[in-house]
Amino acid sequence: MSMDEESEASTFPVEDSTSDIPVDYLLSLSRTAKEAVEISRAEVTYDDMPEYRDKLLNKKNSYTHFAHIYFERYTKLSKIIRNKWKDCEAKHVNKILNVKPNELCYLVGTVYMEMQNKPNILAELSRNNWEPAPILKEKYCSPTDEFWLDDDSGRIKIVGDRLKEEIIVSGIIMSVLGKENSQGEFEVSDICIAGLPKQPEQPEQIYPRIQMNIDRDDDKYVALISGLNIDTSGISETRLQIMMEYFTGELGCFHEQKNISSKIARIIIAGNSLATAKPVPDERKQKKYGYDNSLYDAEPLNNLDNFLEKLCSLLPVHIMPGQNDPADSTLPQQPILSNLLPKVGTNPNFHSVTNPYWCKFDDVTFLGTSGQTIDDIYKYIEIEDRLIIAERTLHWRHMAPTAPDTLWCYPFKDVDPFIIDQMPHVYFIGNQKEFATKLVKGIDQQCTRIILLPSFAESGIVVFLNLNNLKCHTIYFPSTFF
Amino acid sequence: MSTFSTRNKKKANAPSSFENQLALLQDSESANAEKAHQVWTRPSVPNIDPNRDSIIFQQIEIDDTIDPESREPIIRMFGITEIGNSVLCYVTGFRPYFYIPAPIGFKENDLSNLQKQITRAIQPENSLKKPIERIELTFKESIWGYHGNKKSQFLKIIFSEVRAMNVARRLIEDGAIKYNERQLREMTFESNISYVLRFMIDCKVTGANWIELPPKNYNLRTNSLETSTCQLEIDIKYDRFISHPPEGEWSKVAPLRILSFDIECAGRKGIFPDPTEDPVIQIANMVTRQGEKHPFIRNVFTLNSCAPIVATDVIECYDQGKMLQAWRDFVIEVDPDVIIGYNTTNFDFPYLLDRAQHLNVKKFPYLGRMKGIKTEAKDTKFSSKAYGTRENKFINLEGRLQLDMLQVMQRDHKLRSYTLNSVCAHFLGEQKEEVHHSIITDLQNGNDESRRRLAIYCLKDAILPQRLMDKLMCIINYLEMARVTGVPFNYLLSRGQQIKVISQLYRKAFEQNLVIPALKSEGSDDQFEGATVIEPERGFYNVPIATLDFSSLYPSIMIAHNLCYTTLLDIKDIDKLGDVDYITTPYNNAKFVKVHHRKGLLPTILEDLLSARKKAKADLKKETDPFKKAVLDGRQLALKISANSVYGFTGATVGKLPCIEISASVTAYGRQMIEKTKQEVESQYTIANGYQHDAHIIYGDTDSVMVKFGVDNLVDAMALGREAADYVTRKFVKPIKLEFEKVYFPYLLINKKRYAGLYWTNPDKWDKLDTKGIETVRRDNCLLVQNVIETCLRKMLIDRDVSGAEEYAKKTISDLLQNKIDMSQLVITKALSKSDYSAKQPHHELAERMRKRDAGSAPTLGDRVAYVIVKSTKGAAAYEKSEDPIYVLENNIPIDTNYYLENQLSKPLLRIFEPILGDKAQSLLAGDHTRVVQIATPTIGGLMKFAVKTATCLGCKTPLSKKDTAVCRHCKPKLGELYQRQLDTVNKLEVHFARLWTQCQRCQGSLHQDILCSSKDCPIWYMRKKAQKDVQDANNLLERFNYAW
Repeated sequence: MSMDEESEASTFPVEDSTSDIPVDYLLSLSRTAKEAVEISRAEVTYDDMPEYRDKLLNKKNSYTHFAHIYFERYTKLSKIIRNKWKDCEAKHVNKILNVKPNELCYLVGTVYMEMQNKPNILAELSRNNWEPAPILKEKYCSPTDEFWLDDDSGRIKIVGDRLKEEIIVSGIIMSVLGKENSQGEFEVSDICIAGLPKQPEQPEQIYPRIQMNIDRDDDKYVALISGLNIDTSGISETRLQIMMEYFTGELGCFHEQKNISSKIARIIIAGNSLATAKPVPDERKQKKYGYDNSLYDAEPLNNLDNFLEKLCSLLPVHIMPGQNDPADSTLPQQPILSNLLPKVGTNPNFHSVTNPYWCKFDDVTFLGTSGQTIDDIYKYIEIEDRLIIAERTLHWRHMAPTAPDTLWCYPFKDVDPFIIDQMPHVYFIGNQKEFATKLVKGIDQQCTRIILLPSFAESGIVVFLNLNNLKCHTIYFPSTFF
Repeated sequence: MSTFSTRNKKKANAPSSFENQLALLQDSESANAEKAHQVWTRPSVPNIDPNRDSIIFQQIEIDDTIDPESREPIIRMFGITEIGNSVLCYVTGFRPYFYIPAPIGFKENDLSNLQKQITRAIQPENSLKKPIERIELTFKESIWGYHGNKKSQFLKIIFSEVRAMNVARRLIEDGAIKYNERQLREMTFESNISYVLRFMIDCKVTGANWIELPPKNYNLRTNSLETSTCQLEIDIKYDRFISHPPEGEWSKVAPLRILSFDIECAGRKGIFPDPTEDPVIQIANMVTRQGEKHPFIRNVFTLNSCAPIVATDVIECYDQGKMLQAWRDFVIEVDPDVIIGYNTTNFDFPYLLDRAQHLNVKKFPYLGRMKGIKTEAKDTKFSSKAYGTRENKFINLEGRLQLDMLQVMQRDHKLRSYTLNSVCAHFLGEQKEEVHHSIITDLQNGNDESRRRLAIYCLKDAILPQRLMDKLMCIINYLEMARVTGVPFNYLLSRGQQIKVISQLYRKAFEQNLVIPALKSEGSDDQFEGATVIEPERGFYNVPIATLDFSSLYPSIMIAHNLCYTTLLDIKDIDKLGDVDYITTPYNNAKFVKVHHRKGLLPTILEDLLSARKKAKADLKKETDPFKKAVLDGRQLALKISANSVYGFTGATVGKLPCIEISASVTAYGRQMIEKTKQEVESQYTIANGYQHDAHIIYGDTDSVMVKFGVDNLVDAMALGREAADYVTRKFVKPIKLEFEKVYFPYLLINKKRYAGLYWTNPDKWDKLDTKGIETVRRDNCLLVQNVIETCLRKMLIDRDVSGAEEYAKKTISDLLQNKIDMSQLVITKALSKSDYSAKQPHHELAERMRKRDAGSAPTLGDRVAYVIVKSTKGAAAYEKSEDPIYVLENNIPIDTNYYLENQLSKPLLRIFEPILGDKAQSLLAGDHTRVVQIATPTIGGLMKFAVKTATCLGCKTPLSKKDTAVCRHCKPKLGELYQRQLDTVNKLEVHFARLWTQCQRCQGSLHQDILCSSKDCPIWYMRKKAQKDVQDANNLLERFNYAW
């Protein structure tokens, strides 16, 4: 494979604070200068965190009320929030119904937002089928939105300017301080949410390593990719090929191999490995009233299988399902059935996992989703910055508050698997518009590296996270060789 | 307040928590007082000086009573003053009377003798000393027939009380009185009208008008003499008060207090609540002042504790009897003028009364305004040609009006279903949570939270009738109707159409010195030829069809030809009368004199009504105030209905004054006019006369003709339509007027009184899709039929896409046969009424079967039974094939899709497609799209007991051996494809499930509580149940792929 060195793999401008990898320097070195030195791939210990895994895999086939999941959420999180008001002089009202007018008090409840732009199946069904379907807006929010606070006793409308200062969406557990006014509304003067969770005590804390902020020879990387969007069009094929070569070490100089490629211990693919299937309408074809097998196209899956087979021959790969992947579409998405990927399915390096996904590499805890959680919250608020949204979910201690109201999820009976009860070290969100990252630090030295992953097919970006100091950088893979 | 109205609009498409709305109801009035007890009592009465102040009130009900001492009849007028004080006005001195023709040669001095004779005859049956007040000799004219305008002698016999009058009437009509040695047998006149109506006519009191009592003319009763709970009690002579006609300033409406309530009973499973067993557990109340948007009193009486509800008084009672008593005290204190609710007349009131009696709450059944008059529920039967026969309860609440919204709905609107839920969905665009009565008891037996939940439900049921009434402006429309026709408000719901015409007839006759004979009503089945039509030329017209209508056809005919009782000419009389100008009508040579001899009474009434309507409509255009607009609109509607009912009155053979000559002449004229219009139009608009095309009448109905002018655009068609209407109008006698109203384009003419078309009144934009006689609201059809027909018509007429309509029909049939139609579309509902049907009915049979399965959840009398038709043995009757939709879902029972295709869909579909496709229409029902059929495999019943369950290949349905888990050997290569297909199904169902169940959470207004709603009228209900089962089934199938392939 001959190619111009300049264009082989250029790095994407990375956020200053997170990466000081001398990529330009790497590229300036010739690939031919490879030294005949054995480079072995970095290895990490892997913990699939069964305490979370089992909850997320626990989609028993029992479809009942959604009230249970709200109840679990409320029970778990309200305790924490109540504790935070401990020193508050205001009275605590334990049931929303017991609020008395004009009495300063605080209450805890689940937020419910009444929004006219929310998709409404009842309206859709009552609509006569000749009426045009209402256009679904990108955002649900509108000036007429109302906030309500709900618990198992009832609900109350909450009002006040304080609400506008806060990011609030349906399903979060929140506490409000204020008074009920004459209209029966609760005028909020202050708000409290659960706040950042703690990180479990560990013998060697990561925090100091981050403080030191140095790169070391024993650095290990985890590559994070999302949105491979493999289809039959071959558009992303070149990009995938270049990336593959990067991982095999065929691409890049020895220095790069030594400093990065070989240090990549794991790859996580965060959703949308396949592109959305677009059935090709054929006008000439006679309409079939029954099952039509011509719509199924096995090609993309085979392509993915081949790609993963190669990848898994190099290093362990964790694949999470996304919106477009052949898995169930409600959260938590269950692992892609390995039968669908016959070549790679039995490979020990192949890990088909859930979305959302918790795991631990060495002592670094990862939490990631394929993006649906943040995408849905995004619709509730005017804020465009998804990094802020992702950070808020940590503060809410809940990664998918809008489930089940608008984000479809399984009706769990005695657990809410979306509660974030410990601060992950890395929190990645797949299939976002663009790459962004931020290190969030809490008062108890807990910290989380938040990473928004852009779609690889669109951006060509892969994110590399240094397990040692939680710094990350990106590498850009072009879609053509030239 | 303004925020509420915007909310409401929003609510229309996003039904949600009722609590949210309650919260918003809390208005500023109770703002400062902390959880202020809402004020129940009426505003206090200002100081009144009977010598200086007049009392002015709007009377809302008039009835009569007998003075306990003098035994003379007294009129009671209940009313409300402008500031909201309640008034009871006793009107004394008015005496009942009737007329008889004076015997020949009767003289003034014969009067006392006659009075003696009649008195003597009455006395054995009447203990009064002086049953007859006096007899007057008057000159009157009978309304029946033309007599050359000559008055004759009539005796006006005035009685001291009503019963004496009735006895006398019978005796005189039977000839049981001797006078001057001769039998006195006479027809009586004006003897069959009630005392109240007589009073209203003579004193010019109309329904719900304003009454002024001038100073010095009335006597204000002091507390000790008060007989009622009204704030003011007054005596006045019948000729001393002023009755204001409801015009101008006096068309206002007093601040009536309207109580809307609902009760909940804790029934036992499977048994309709029985007042001797099952307690009343909650009563929710909303009190609103007429004209205000929101109730100012919102409360709920609960048995046992109940958690607080925002903006609502919760009145907890711990004893059933005390709760009933507390509610009764509440009603008396609030003193509502109007009591409304949903099915209150036949359920809530009787139940409360029976329950109170059972619990021995002695003070309870006094809910009216009169002290000491017990409220009772009596059975009444009401039958009317227009409304059919209904058996109802009658609840006497003296001085209060009752408006059971269920009865209003049944009277005024034709709907698929009359449950509160479906009525609200229809008019308010809202679904409401419905709690099944078996759950109610569980909620009651829970804790204060669960009872609170019940209370919210109950409160919602209490406010909905009010909102329904506001939306439909029932009070205003009924008030206007009462004013226009001059009958008391109560008559409008309890009596038929006739009484309204009678009231007007008597009023006019009174003015003109005419007297009306009291005919014995004879039920004759004389059917005269109705309005036939010009035979329709069936077909699909893709050119504009102009419609020419006669405005108010029947009233116009009566006016134009002076048709009336008073102008009817007996052939025998013609010679006697000599020179007389008359017309002969097309019916049986009936003859009526022309207007210069005598102007008919009915034409006068009709002219008044029509001109009043014209005026109301003109005022309506000018008026800007929405409330006054509503009043005017209600009035013009009432006037229109009244004008049209005059014709019906003359034709009602069992009526008070039927006159076949009038009614048959009217329809005969009508037919003639339609024919004449056809001739005129077709002979004028011809190519020979210089027009582009020959016009052609394709159809003519009672009062309209459809003209095909041949032009292909709307502008020309409208111009020609207008021209033709004017042209033809000139050929008719005034005030008959042919009007051009609309153009149908395209137009689908199916048959007599069955057509559909796109309705245009201006050439730029169509107004609506108009259909007549096409199955859309028939209740024994399933929703699917309605949807398919409507959609097909839309596609044909609006999109002009006939092949699209065909395609849609085929697709639906294909979906039906493949079991892809949602169950809610196939459900047929019928109310379970009396169980002694001779013919077997599907819903009865089903109810019986359900009772055997589980008596607890089986429908009981009065419930609506929903069923679907399922597959059964060949030749089984439809009633054997009905099944509970839920049972069908749970047991996978196959639907008899052929039944739906053949018995439900095919006829209506063919009907609309035949005019277009001709014989080809049959191809809709057979062909490719009907070849793929899917039938569910039932899990119970019949042969299934013997069947062995074997897994089949998910690809080709071959039975599998034990080793295989998803597919057979041959389908193995297709595993990936099959898995993905199943996955797609699961995904769709999962999302569907999540969307439906979260929607119900939104609707019930709580995230933390399970969904209880079982409203079968909600489009989601079956879907929600089905989604739950489907998603589980689909997931089970999906799990079969979980093995190494």
